[in-house]
Amino acid sequence: MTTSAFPEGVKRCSGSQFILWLLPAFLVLLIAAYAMFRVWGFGLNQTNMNDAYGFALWIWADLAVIALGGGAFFSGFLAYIMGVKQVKNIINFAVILGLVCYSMALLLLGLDVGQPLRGWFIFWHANIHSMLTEVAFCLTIYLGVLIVEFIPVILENPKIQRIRFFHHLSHNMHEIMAVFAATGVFLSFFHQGSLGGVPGVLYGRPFAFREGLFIWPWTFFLFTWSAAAVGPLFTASMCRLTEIITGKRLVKDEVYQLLAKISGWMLLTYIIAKSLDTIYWATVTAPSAGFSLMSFYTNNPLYGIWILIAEIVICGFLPALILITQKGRENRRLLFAAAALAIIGLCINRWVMVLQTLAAPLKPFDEWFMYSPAWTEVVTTIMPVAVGIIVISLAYRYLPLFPQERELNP
Amino acid sequence: MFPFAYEWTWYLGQYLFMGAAGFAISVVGAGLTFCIIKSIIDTVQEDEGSSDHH
Amino acid sequence: MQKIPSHTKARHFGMVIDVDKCTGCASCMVACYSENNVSFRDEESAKMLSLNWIMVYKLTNGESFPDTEVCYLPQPCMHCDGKEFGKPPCVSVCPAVATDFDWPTGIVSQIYTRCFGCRYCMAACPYHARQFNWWDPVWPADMEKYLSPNVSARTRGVVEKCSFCYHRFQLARQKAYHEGRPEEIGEDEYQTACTQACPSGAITFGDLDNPEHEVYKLKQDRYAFRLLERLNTNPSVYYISKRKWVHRMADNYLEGEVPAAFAENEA
Repeated sequence: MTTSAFPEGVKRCSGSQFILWLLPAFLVLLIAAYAMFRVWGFGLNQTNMNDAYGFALWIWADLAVIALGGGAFFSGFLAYIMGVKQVKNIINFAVILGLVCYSMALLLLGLDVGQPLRGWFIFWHANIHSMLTEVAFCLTIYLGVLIVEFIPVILENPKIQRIRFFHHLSHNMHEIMAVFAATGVFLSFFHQGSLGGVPGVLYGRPFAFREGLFIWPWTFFLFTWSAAAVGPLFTASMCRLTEIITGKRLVKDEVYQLLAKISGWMLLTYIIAKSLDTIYWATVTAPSAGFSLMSFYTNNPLYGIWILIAEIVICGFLPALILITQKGRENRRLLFAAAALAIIGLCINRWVMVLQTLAAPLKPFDEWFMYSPAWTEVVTTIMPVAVGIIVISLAYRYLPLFPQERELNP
Repeated sequence: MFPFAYEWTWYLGQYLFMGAAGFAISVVGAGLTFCIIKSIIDTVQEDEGSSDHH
Repeated sequence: MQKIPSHTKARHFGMVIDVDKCTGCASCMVACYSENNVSFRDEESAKMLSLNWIMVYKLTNGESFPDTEVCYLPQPCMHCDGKEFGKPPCVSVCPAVATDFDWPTGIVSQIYTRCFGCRYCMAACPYHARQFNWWDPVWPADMEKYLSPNVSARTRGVVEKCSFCYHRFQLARQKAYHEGRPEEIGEDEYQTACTQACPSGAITFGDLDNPEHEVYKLKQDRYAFRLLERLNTNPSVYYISKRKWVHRMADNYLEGEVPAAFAENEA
């Protein structure tokens, strides 16, 4: 008797159709590989970064991708620690998405350093006062946790299950998943926060600098909170996208609605805190260094006050209000439109905290520093999407990701 | 990272940071080791169980 | 972060630059390039891609003729003491301790072999005093023979910046030690290359805390100021100018605020 490589009781497309579907993603990957070869081979002069933009597109991508991948830790927290059973129907998908996000973020960080072969210095010669050190430690260990969380999902492939040891291993790992999930939550809290601390501690950069609690600037808490709020929305949106592409229902609406409800309230509280933080920064912190609010939003071709309004009102309060109302959640289109807005808002937040921080002139005789990424940066930043498509497609095809799939597709 | 490195300083922050990192690694490592050992035992016991049957 | 060993004399090196004397000749920049093996490219117009440990900025008061005034402002690394003494903005952020605040001298160091090029320090520095080696350093054929053996050349992919010619301090200290006066280094014995190269005597260098040094007096000048002082970076580089508009160019002021040196006049 031969065992099918596909999960039990589900239908999958033909092999040739599958390969055809993956082809564009592999093409992007090929171009990205060439860009990576250029950067690692010839150095960072292959990018459009310069001394004013030591941090640029890649650091933004890191911050955004890690925040969106935060769906893995927060869903894990809900499913395994808070015991919210519904979330278990989407947790496998969240873990895979998190794994893609985190591994890609680390790859981009590896590209971004001038001396990649010295990358290990950050661990060996660690300066524990640096937010980046905290990021590196937590990120790397958490990637390990995600791999550990992903292993039992791989082991559930029917062919692998036939090997008894792997059958037992996946069972035993499921049994103590709460331990791994708890470690993941602990690590995520710190690295999501430290990523916020990266700009927040820069007291030489009044656009980013924030006061805070002990060693942690307010951005530390805001970044963690926003990642926990928007991460699950990203997981849900990508899951919905998978449904649209596969033409199948994979997760019940009530799961989406539950995630949306939790995220909605998280988002609302986050955006209120963010607004208060912005008001304090604009009226106290920045003026103490001689800057008015509008000095950060004028005299340049891109960063107008619109970006602040877009982040806080259109991509903050608006989606939060949609998601906390039952009517908003029950309308699937409205729910995912709100999720998309929230995701855009999070990306804007990460962008301004890194790039606008560096763009704003500090010396009165400086001009705004503007930057546009080189093709090498753009294509490697798109790479996580291609890798995501490949990994999720493979996982969906061969692994039982969605416990509700059989029931929803009889 | 370790006390013999130049940048090591003997103070609380250093212990907390490295302690937390070490703790997280230990928990994950111990959990994984437990699962592997238990799975080996389970597999062996299962084998013995099925051979008893014959 | 090591504090001062008990047997070491504490110094606090700094610079005072009289911008009213600076003619913008850029001798300081040239001297610095040669002293510190700073590499250069064929084409140097893209300032945000080139290396210069000291940069001369041209400022104008924005008035039209005949009221136009120009001021040249040489800017090295500010060797900030930091908001909290010993914690300059760039030092605490470096993940690999590749840059450090030297307590016995107040000099902010950069360890090129330790730096792995994350550039977080560059994001932290409000002065753009730190530069990245985007390319491998290449010197014209015979020039390599003229490189200084006292300063290591940097490789591609690391950050570099002004060191206040720290190797000169080491040489002076070595000389003093051999002459049997280990902690006595005269003001003239340790001077930076830019200070010595300045033809108009605009740059003065010394121990800011030593009353016998010229900089000690100059920094107390009524018209002394520091760049972006309101950010609380506590730079060790002071400037002097009697011109109010120059003071205004050195920091950010809200409407109605006046630079400290001119506050009394206004009142």
